[in-house]
Amino acid sequence: MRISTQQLFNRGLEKIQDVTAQQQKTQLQLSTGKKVLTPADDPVASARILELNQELAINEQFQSNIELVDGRLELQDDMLGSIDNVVQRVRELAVTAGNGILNGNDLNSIAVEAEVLLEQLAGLLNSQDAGGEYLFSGFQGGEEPFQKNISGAYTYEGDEGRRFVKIGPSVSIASTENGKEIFQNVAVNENTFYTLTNPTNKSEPAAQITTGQIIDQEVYDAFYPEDLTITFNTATDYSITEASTGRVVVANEPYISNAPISVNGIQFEISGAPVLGDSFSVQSSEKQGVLTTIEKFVYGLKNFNTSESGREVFTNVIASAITNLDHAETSILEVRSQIGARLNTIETTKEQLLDVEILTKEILTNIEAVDYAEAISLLSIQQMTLEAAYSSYSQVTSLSLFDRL
Amino acid sequence: MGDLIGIGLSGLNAHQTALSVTGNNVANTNTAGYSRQQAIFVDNQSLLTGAGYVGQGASIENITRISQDFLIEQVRSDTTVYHERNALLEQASSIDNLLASSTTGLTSAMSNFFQSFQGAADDPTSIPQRQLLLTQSEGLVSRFHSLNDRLNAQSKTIESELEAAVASINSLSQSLAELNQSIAVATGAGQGSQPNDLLDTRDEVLRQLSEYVSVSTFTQGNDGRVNVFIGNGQPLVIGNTSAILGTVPSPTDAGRLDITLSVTGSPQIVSGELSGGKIGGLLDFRDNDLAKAINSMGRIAIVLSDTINEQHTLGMDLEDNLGGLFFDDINTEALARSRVFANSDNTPPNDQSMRINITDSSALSTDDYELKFEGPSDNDFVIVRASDNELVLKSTLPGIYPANVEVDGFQVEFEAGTFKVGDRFSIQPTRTGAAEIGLTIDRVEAVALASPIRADASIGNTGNAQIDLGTMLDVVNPITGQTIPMFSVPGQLSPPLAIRFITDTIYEVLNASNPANLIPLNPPINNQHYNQGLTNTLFTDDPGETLVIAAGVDALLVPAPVVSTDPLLNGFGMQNLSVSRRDLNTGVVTTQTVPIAANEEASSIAASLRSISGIQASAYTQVRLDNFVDDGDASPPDLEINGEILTMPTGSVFGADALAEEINNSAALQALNIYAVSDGISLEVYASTGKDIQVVVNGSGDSVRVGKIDPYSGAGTPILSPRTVNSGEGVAVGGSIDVTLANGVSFTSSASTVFEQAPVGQSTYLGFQFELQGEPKKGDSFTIGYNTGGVSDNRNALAIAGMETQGSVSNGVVSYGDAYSQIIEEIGTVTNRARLDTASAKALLEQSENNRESVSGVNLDEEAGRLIQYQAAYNASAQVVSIARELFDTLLATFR
Repeated sequence: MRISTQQLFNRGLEKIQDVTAQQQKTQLQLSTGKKVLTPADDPVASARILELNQELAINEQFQSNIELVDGRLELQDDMLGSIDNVVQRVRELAVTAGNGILNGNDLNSIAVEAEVLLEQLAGLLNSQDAGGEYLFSGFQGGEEPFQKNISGAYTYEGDEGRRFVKIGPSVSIASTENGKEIFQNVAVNENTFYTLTNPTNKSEPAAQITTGQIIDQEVYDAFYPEDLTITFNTATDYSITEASTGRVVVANEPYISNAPISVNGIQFEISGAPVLGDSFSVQSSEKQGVLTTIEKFVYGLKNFNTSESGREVFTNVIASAITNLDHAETSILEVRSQIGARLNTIETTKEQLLDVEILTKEILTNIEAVDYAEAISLLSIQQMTLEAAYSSYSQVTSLSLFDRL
Repeated sequence: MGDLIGIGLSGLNAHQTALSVTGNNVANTNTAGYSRQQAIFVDNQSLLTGAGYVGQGASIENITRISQDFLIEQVRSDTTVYHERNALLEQASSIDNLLASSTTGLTSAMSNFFQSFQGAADDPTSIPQRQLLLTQSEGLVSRFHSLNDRLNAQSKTIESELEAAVASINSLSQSLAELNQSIAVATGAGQGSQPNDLLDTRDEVLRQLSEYVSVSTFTQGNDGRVNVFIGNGQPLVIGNTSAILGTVPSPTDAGRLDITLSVTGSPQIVSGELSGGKIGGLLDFRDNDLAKAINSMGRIAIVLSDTINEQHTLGMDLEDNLGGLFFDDINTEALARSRVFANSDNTPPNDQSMRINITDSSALSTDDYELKFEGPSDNDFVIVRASDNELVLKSTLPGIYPANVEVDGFQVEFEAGTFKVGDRFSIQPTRTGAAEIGLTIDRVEAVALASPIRADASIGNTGNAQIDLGTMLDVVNPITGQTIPMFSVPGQLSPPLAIRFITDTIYEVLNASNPANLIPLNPPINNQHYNQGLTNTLFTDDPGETLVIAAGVDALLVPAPVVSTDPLLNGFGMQNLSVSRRDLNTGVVTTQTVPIAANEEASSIAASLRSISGIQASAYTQVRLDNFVDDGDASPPDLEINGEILTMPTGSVFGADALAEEINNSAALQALNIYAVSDGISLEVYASTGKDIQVVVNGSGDSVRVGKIDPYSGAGTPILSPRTVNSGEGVAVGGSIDVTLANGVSFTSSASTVFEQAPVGQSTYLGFQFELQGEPKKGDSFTIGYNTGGVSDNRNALAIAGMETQGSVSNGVVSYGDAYSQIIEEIGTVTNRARLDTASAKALLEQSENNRESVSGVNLDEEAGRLIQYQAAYNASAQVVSIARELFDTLLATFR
């Protein structure tokens, strides 16, 4: 084929430029350590690289979630340990009080100590984390979960909320516990009840109802599990009805503030100035909060009387207190063991996440990283080619017939 | 001898010319487009002598350029292809790495955004976490903006390159016209000799033109002029006149330039007709790949805004308010109007007003659309996809405004105006998405990480059933577009709910506005059956579900008592129900008739209604018995309920308490799901399946009053149509029926007996769902209320964080991140293909250039050879002259 002089020069130069461009790419791959420099080098691989990087970022987030949950659960576990200690101390007091040789003064000093422990326990149940969030109030972390109501008894103001945190692609774990589950839903040895003020009551200041007590367990057991509703027909008289049937238990009774109201084996007091339509309810329950248990224990200690029947009631009070405190401890221990189990889950999940992380990084390396041996040998081949091209170019182009003229 | 001198001189002349030609070749070795020239020698015409014909020397007949049209054309077409591919490659490369880079791409910003939600979920009360969340959200929005800016800047670059290319073509076409003229003149003057240099120049100009656009030529006449056409035969140069290219904003897309061509008169848009070359490559990239990338980014931004907003509005913020918009509303009036614009060629008065509302962001495609009024009547229109002209919808305007049609996730809303046949509108649902995404939320407290609902089990519950914390579905009913009444008052549920178990397996959901006086809901959720061992969902998930109660005249009545030996009938009149069901996908309505016989029991009516798909029916009978009269005579009071004789145990008083015990202890009545509750004075008898409750009084002189309980009013309301049943009489009381109709189902009735003639269904959709499982006991209750003070709740944060990996885009199968990866993969593929195409086009171009060069290019060695060759001939010719002179001298000397 005929070759023109322009062709001779241009073709040689073009090829040299091509090899230079290739060499530069290899050099860039070597200096970045990446095989895929832009998506165009390997569109499928670069999409996969993005996905893998996203997976790694998610994995990293899970690991930091785990750190956080871990800290939170450890804190709760510590708190529950302290709470358990206080409950045990109260139980010891109950055992001491029940040994029968103590006189009224001794019991009073026990009552004083029990009251101190009650306040201490309430303080622990109202623990906050470093951020000021209450540990045991469910979703309402800004509100003290255990508050003294108007009548001086502790009630649970939180809810059943429980916060979950995602610690793995398909693993969510509860990072908080609510106080209702641990400290309120505690089984009792005998049927009991609690009193509630209807939040829609209109009286101002609100009329109050006391926590009350059971005065005849047998009568109450026969009525159980029905609930009662106390409705004010006027400001001065009220009726009590069975909540589920509407059966009238007490009709149009005149109201006297703070006078004991006895019905179906239980007794409670209403105080204040209720208005027409105000209502209160008595809900039967087979559960009792640990604070209420201690309150009842203190009440029993303070109202000890030496009569035969008084001793009998006192024995019952002590027996109930010990049993119910045992139940409370069991409930706390159950939750602690659940927390322990969760900590285990966290540990295994963490290991899995680390395994996945290593594996993902390995895949990423396989797709993304340059094979140094291959790239270096490629670079030296390109180097050699370029050198050969240079020397041959100058040799070929230096030839000219004009030189011979 | 004179001949010989003449012959020698002719050789000298001829070779001198040949040497000039060769010299010219050497001089033009590096001239672009130069074709080497060749002097054509011919021998001069011989003279007839006695010795025969004697040659008269040589002369140069012509100087021709060595070129082959085929090769020139090949170079031209390969140049066009190469420059087209190369322009595409240059453009694609510049955004290729932009999108994938971790510093400029969307991936890292997106991942930070979702991680900040995870972080906030870990600690929802933490203000610093919420602050970080807002900062990362701002980062995401600005990343969308900067990417979109870069893509749009790319578009602007392309337009300026197009303008430059148009200017170059104009100057080239003018040169061509001038060259045509010069060639015609020179060809005429040359009388057969060609103006080689002019032809070379013209070929070179044509080659340069082919860098910008595909070129075809057609030779006109014999004077050497060529007509030049570009693209699909657009005339650029005809003889001595050249057309002028220009640019105008596109009538279908004001944001883009179109290329116009004007020969004479007004410019015509030819963008669609131009292909090949730099212009072809630029247009191709701008209209396909870049437009798609911009739309895809826009789609991600729209879907993200829409879905995050949707979830965020289901949440509750730190101040107990329902979550507001997180990102800017995607359907503001300004945005909706900006997505459509009229073609500038439309028929005046151009008074049309339209909006494009995004109705289902997950169904959006990345396409643009065109709305065309193609006739035959002014109101007939079609919507086609711009990319492939595929018809997506054909419809007719109803003539009243507003009218709307829905396709591919968006709704075209015609607000006003006159539409004429021939009018066109461009619809770009996603084009501005990435530019318009913005952050609405600006306070850390307003981030809705909690869920606004929660449930509590009563501490007095004796069963072990557990209720979950609830799932939010909607605050606004997606079908009606109205706020669900539950959420009509900020900061509370209207009303809060209580779930109460009447028996171990039957529950009702009640209005707990006053916890001491629970009343039925409106519409009611009465007499619900609980499945032990299963997860029970408490509410409907169907936003279009409605409930109709049997409120016809007969349903509220207790019939007059009859002699107890007569059949006891509930007095329900006959009626035919006409049930119509509209298929939600096709809109086709089917109807079906359900006959109700006279005196049919509610349980049976409910059963026949239940057999129709889309209908649920619950029947239950509630009767109150009071005014028990026992005349005290010898015959003991004796009451029959549904054939079961209830005999008073000795010593007990004929009254509610004793009867309740008898009823609840009767195995036969239990089998009929009949039970009773007494409040000491009156007795309420329930049949939970809706069977008639029959009451017969046997004891002589005794009587009882029977009334029907209105299940839809609260306690304390009077019972309905009470009747006194005397001795020897009986009565049957029919039940209530609550009919739940799925979305699209409704019915009418032939008479207002059991059901009203045209009952109006009330929406049962509450916008949330709760699940109950375990074993409840009679009397157990649960409450559902607003999550007041729920600052530690992170359910909504988890829901939003979980959306990172969920399918939200492309009909819910692709996650945001994957949708973005797709863009990168597409642009990467385009770039990669452009690289390969450019490389192969370059190889082809090199080859065709080589081919041309091998024929037309100057080889200096060859020219050196020619120089020697011609020089030798020249020398020889000189020798001929010299010899002729010597001969002449010899001859002269002879005569001297």
